[in-house]
Amino acid sequence: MTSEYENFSVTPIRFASWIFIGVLVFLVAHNDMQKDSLSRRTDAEVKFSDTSSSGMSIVPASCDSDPHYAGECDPPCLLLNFCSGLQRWQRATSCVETLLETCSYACSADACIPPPPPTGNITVTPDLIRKSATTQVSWSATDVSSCSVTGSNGDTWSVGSGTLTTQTSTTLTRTTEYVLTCPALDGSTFRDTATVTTAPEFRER
Amino acid sequence: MKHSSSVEQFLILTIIASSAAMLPLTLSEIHLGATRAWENTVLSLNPSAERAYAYGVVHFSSSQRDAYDIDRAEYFFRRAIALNNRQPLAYHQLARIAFLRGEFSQAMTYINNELFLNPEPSPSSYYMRGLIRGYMGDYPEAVTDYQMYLTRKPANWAGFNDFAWVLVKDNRPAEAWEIVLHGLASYPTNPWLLNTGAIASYELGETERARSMALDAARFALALSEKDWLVAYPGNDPAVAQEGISTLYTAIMQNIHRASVVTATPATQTP
Repeated sequence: MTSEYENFSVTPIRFASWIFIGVLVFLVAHNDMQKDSLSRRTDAEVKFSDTSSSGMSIVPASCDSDPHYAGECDPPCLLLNFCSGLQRWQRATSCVETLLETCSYACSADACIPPPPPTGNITVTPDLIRKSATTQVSWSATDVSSCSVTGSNGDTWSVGSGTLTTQTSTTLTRTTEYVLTCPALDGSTFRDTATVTTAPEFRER
Repeated sequence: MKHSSSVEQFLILTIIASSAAMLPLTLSEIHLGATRAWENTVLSLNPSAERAYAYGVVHFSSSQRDAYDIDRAEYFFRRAIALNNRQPLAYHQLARIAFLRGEFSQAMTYINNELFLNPEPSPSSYYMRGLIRGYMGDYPEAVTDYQMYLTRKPANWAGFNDFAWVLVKDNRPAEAWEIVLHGLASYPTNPWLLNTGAIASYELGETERARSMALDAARFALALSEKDWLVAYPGNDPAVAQEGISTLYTAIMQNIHRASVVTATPATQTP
């Protein structure tokens, strides 16, 4: 008479079933373990912001603390416009940068800044002279690319900027008007005038 | 045969019960469980320090949300050291884990072990030690570590940022500002650098500049994605990325407020 235990054999189906049960038991147990692990998680960095002596809040990073991912420690690429010199660029989230435009005057806070209107003046010193005397012609201008001065007597000067410049006129025999003309950065033209008057001569009879 | 059929009935019932118990599990959890079972089995059958270390790295990466588990990573790194106690990188990783848990003394011990064992430590070893020392309040020593790091790796934005952080903490805001300027030259829109620049400016009495930089920092911090944040904090749990972004943004907003108050004060006193 054989016992029931002796009749019991390990068939492939039974073996597979045991393996399956074993895996299931492990997964269920593991799932509980994982939940427990997460609930015990502590992380010093997540809520960390340090304070300076004046109470400002600093946030250190920890990028490059991992020796394996140094190449991945790239700065974030954000969709934004930014200035580089006079150029205005756009950086996409893909980190590709595209030149949007080149500003004529300045680029600041992600936008082209228009040039301010020009200013300047021209003076003659003295502005009253005797006939055949000379005078000093001075001029300056801001936010212009160059300037030229033309006198009604034929005097002409030109400079490549608006910096303060002084020139001596040729001898003047009559009242003369000097005209300052400067092409401005905003596209307009700045003009100013100064007149030197020659005093009339009186002769006794 | 009677016994055999009862065993099979028991098996069928167990399978049904276990399948019901599995219902709450997602497919990724089942996959993860199978992966862990595989790791345990392979490491038991063929123990090797390199394999244990590699398994640890898998569970300690912010880029792998499902696999992230620092307890399990720690287990594998410890196994790696148990199998070969001259594994410098395993000490490095244990230092990172201890650091994340706020166990800074323990983290220092580990990172010093790594630097002792590793004839050619990577720049990140000095970065890590600077970070730990900074959190411990040992700023002059942290400055030294960041200097060593930046000598070896002179163009990392986080290196600039954290170096400036310990300089500010060491009451050297002028030097911190110089470092931030170096960083901003290459990374002009980095919210961490802009925020640290704002703080250095504030400490130097440049409150208007501080406010302007903090405003820029806030604008760029708002555009940060979780992925961006996890790049900045590679050892952190991906599940807390949003919390981390929130911490950064809150800190910046506090700075804007503080700088705005100081900037506005002289104007209100003007008769």
